Amino acid sequence: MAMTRAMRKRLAGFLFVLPAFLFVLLFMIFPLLYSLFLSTTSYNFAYDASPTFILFQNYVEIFKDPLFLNSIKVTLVFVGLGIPIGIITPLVLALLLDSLGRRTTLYESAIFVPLVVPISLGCLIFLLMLDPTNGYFNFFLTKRLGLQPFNWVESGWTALLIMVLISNWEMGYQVILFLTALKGVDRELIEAAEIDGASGIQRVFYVTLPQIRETTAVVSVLAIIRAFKIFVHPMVLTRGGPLHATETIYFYLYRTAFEFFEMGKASAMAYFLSFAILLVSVANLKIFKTD
Amino acid sequence: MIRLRRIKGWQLLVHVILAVVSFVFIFPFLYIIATAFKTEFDTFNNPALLSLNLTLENFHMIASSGIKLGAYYLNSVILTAVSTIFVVIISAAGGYGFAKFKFRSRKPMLITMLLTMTFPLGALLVPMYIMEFKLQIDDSLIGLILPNIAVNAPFAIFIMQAIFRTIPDELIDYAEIDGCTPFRTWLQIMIPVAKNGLLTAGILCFRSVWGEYTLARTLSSSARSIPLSVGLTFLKWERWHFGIMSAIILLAIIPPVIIFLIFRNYFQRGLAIGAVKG
Repeated sequence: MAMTRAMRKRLAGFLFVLPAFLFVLLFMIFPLLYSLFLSTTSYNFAYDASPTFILFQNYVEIFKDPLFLNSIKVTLVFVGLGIPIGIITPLVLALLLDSLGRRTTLYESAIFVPLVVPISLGCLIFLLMLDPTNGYFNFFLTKRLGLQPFNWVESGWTALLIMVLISNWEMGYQVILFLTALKGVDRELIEAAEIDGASGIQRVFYVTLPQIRETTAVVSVLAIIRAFKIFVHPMVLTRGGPLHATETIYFYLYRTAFEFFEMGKASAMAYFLSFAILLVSVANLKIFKTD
Repeated sequence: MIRLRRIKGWQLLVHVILAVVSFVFIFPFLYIIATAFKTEFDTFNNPALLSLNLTLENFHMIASSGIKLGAYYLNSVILTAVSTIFVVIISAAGGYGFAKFKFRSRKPMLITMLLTMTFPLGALLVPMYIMEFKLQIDDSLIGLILPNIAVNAPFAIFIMQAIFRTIPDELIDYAEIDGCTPFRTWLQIMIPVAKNGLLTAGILCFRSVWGEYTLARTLSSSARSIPLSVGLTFLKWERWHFGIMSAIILLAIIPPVIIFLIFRNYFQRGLAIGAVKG
């Protein structure tokens, strides 16, 4: 075979990558392109034999759908509530853990272990605990504290807030990212600030935080993207209720596809959501470039 | 008086805060463990978390309650095991290819893979459902395994190529001088050196597939393929005994929790790698 060594090496590299790429091509790229095509068609999976091409009509129509607009609003509220809880709390926890240096294994395990619990099952545990009649939480409120029972799904706002809190049970990922960044902070600078008489709080704000701002940006973007993608929580906890108050974009997209079988519209919503997430990611890259 | 090693006041305060926070985070675990071993009477009449009447009746009643726990469990085990093994193998190869070889389509292929990670699963549900419906592999384990491999491969490859980059090129050169083919170099020299990375990728994939809900909820419709993460959520609409429910959930989360406790460091390191480059 008249194949040079360099050519053989190139071929080998390509062959190593090929199996994984084929999987991604067949089960990610192809479906995503198919979905892009579907988003330009009218296609009710229950009634229509095949999709009818209608260009961008879906992208216009979904924005006339009050429930879709509602789902955008709910998602934005979710993002807004989730950012302070999902970024500041993990940052504070990471600072506390880091300040102790060693002997934090037990605390870290406790904070990280919810990450391995399937989200849907985590939701079930919270449903049991928060159950208005038999849940532990209401036992505690009524029998121990003598208060009125609390029905968290009665009002849209409490349902949304509780959902944000439950979704942050799994905040260990952000804590890990912050902890890793804090390990890389220049200790000498901190000691120098200490000698100069800076208090603990001052050291955090003027020395530590500026050094981990890249990670803070990454965590913020991850938190925003995660809030955009929230789906399992409304699906298992509330089914979008009460009165659509917890119906996120992703959840409404799911209903459009698998309750109403409007595959074209659902695909358009999916691409709208993907585009929003892509925008946030690009903004993230821009932040990186400026550093 | 024995003086404790100088623990400053603020350190004590931090310990107290972290202990309280830790308690909040593990409270849901304590709750279902306690409830799983409580009698029915205690669950509904004794608000104390701990009860002195420990019982196994909830676990015995799972069998007679009619829930297809065995089928869901088997589906989860097969789905997770097969997907994880495949992801580890193809990402060990793919990560190596991307890290150590130069070929024309390298960059477009790598960028395509990483780009798919930004897409929400939501964009995949509709086409995947229609595709599997037409291929008649919906509601089957193979129909879940294939997309789970594809969804988890990009991140695993990202981790593996980061690991392979840290291995010096000289190792490959020596192997080649000794007459090893690229495949043998990979299998007999690179894989053993990168085994910690493979373990990390495998653990993250295991966690991801065991907890996967969205694809399974969309593509599965019967006990033939429904895994635990979806199957158990169907119970909540019935008037379930809290004790049985807790016992079932407890059984479903034991495998990932044990793996986490054994391999905590790998798990943590793997998640941290993902952060280095958003």
